[in-house]
Amino acid sequence: MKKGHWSYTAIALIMALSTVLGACSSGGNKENGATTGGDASNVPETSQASTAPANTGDSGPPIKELVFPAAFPEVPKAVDASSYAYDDLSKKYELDLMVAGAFNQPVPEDTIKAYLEEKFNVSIKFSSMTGEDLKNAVSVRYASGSEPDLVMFSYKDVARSLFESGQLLDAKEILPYMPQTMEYVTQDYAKWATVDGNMIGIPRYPVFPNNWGYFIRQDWLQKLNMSMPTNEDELFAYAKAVVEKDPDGNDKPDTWFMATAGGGNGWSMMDALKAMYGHPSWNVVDGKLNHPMLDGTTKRFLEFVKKLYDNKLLAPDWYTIGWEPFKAYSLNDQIGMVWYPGWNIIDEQYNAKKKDANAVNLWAPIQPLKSNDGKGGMYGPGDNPGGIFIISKKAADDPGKMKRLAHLIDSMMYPNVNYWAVSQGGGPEIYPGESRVQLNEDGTNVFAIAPTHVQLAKPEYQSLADWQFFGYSLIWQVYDDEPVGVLGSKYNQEIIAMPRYKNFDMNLTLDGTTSTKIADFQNKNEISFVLGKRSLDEWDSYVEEWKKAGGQKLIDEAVEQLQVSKP
Amino acid sequence: MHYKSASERTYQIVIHLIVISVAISAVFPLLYVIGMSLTTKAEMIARNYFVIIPLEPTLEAYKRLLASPVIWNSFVVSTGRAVVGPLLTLLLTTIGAYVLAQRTLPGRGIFLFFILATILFNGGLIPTYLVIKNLGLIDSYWSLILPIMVDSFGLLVIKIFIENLPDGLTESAKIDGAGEWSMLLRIIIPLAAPALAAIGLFNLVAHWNSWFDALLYLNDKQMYPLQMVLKNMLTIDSVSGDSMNAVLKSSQSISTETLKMAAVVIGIIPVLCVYPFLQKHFVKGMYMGSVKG
Repeated sequence: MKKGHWSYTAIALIMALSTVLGACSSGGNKENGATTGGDASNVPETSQASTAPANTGDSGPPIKELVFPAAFPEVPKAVDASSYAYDDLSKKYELDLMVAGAFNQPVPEDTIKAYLEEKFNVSIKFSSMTGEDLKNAVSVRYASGSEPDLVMFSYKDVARSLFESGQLLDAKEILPYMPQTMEYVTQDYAKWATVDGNMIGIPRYPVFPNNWGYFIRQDWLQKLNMSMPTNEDELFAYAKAVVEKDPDGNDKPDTWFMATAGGGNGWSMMDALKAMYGHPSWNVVDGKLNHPMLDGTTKRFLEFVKKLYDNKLLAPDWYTIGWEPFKAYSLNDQIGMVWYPGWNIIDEQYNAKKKDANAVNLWAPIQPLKSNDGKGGMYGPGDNPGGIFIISKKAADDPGKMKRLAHLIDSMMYPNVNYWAVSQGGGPEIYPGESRVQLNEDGTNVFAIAPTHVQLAKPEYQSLADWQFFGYSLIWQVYDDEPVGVLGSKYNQEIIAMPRYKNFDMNLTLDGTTSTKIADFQNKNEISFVLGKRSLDEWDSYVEEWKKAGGQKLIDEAVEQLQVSKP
Repeated sequence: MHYKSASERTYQIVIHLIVISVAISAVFPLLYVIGMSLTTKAEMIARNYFVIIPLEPTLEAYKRLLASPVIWNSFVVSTGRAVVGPLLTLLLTTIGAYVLAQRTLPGRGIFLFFILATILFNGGLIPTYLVIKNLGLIDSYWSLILPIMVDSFGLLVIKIFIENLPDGLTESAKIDGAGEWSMLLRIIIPLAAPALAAIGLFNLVAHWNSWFDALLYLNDKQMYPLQMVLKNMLTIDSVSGDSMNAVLKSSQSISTETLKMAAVVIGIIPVLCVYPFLQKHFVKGMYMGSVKG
């Protein structure tokens, strides 16, 4: 063969390789070393919750009949260890867990994973990522047959799609093995997670309690000789006084009532003022569907905001300023009222004033305000579930594995045996002496980690905290440090106890695209009313525009889902 | 001596003002990011979150980020893929373009169609994932390199450039006894250097900035490239960040904004260092493949 022919052959082979890599591939060999996704056609029929497993010594599930409680327990208590007699921990399983985390970074040594692997005789593949990334990753994993065993995330619509495509286990099959979790699956939560009679996943209690409320500068109230506002007129009078009467005493016109701090994307901090005039979201009145756009609630809210704007009572760039930049005003004695979680405003003000102990007394929570005709007096609905656990049908192929999964996850629920171990980057079980746990008689707990704890001391271990998003919650969390913790906890509990409108949104799964479109429509148009570019006399025609933009479609969907009459 | 007329002077002034404005608008965001990355939380709040030159600069954010082995580890991963990826891309793209530029190649049209069609179409997210998975490349660094190893557009550019070379050049080389490899290495590649530099730079930036492939194909976070690590740092927004402070009971003396800005600076420094050396080839290389003669 001539020399040139060898060259041509080599070049042709390389070109073929280029073609294969540059064009579409037809797929390679199915050589899977790691845990693999099963073929959907091999998924077994749904199993009965009470079927005894093949392994021996199983006493069956601790819960024989699923009875969902009306509310969370008054005083949460850990279930007895004997509840897990169904799992003798003899066989080792591989578990693939995914969660929507906060940090999502690699850690040099995952001590929590090692702890759980030893305790439960499992090998864990743990993935944490942001909510949006998790949505993409879960969709791809399920579509490609590599589904994880369990995912904890926020997207009920994704969970519903996966369930409808036959990929998920009905949660009623695994819940009998999770007695701690069952204490928090209330009737409302169970209804939220149920579609056509099937539970598409296990609803999780929220991480954050309903501890967002309005906070007012109580030192300014004293200085202005005013009492805590209770209605819109008193609130307006306070707003005017904040701007006109120099409450910070520096002889400069640099104090304002409040701002949205939403970065130009909606009413943000000011949105809760809507509740002064009525239910701020979907609701039912006398068996008929209602919405704040339809009963005048939104209109009256906009009238109030316009009044504040026209009287120049709102901060500069009040609508466009973002959350973080707004702290330049709110923590610098320039703002009269904010919408914040209780502990946070105390903590941030304290730190902004360079840990001056007096700073914690600047802000105080305000009771929900009423309109002049007596409406309102409640905050917006709370109590939404904090996410949903979805379990792949593949995980139930092996009943023993399903029970091990149930046992492990259940142990991380409040206040069960591993709740603190996996929280805050590792509790006393893993880092003895680096954290303190105190369970109170009333069911609350103090959980503090020392500054020397690896999660705080070493930034590369920060992501250990992502484990806590399986079961951690601030609902029962109190702080006993002075001066911030004690007062912050007190304010948290005060706000949690404040009255709220009933939550109807929880039972609605409205079309996502239309909901987003309507939200954008409202964001774009409502500001025009406040700025005077559009007259509120045109409100009725605006409502018709809103309906045409998608509002009517949402009304029809809500009527069907809530099974009520049309408005 | 050339005297400029009044209109010429006016024109020059206007042009200079416009160009200076554009230059300032281009460099200003960078100065803002750098300034904010060196600002303390207290100063940031006091100066309304707009700081170009901090009065009390701090390197705390950089210390925190760079003290983390996570950042260094991911930096090594990103550097590795930004070196290996473009090198392999240039190798295969050049060879592929040279072969496809040969007019006497049997089936040339079909090969071109297959390769160039991928400029317009691709398999999509799920089929690509399935291919990567079935090749056993999940949790492999090759999953970050192989899918974009052959740049169809770059191949097209180089191919056109080679086709536009005078035939006499290659014929005289053949007469002198040069083989195909000699022609490629000693004639084609040196002449196509600007185009290759442009393609290499594009590929380098693509590798450096990629994170979505890591999200899909890498379960082991130790293998995350720098952009994935920085992205996760940046996605804790300030509201949820404040809530996270409650969850983690850790008030930071460094503002979230400072950390984000420092993360941005760390992410762009390598590209800023490389770009000036390739800049002169960049523009020339972009149009080289399209201009005949």
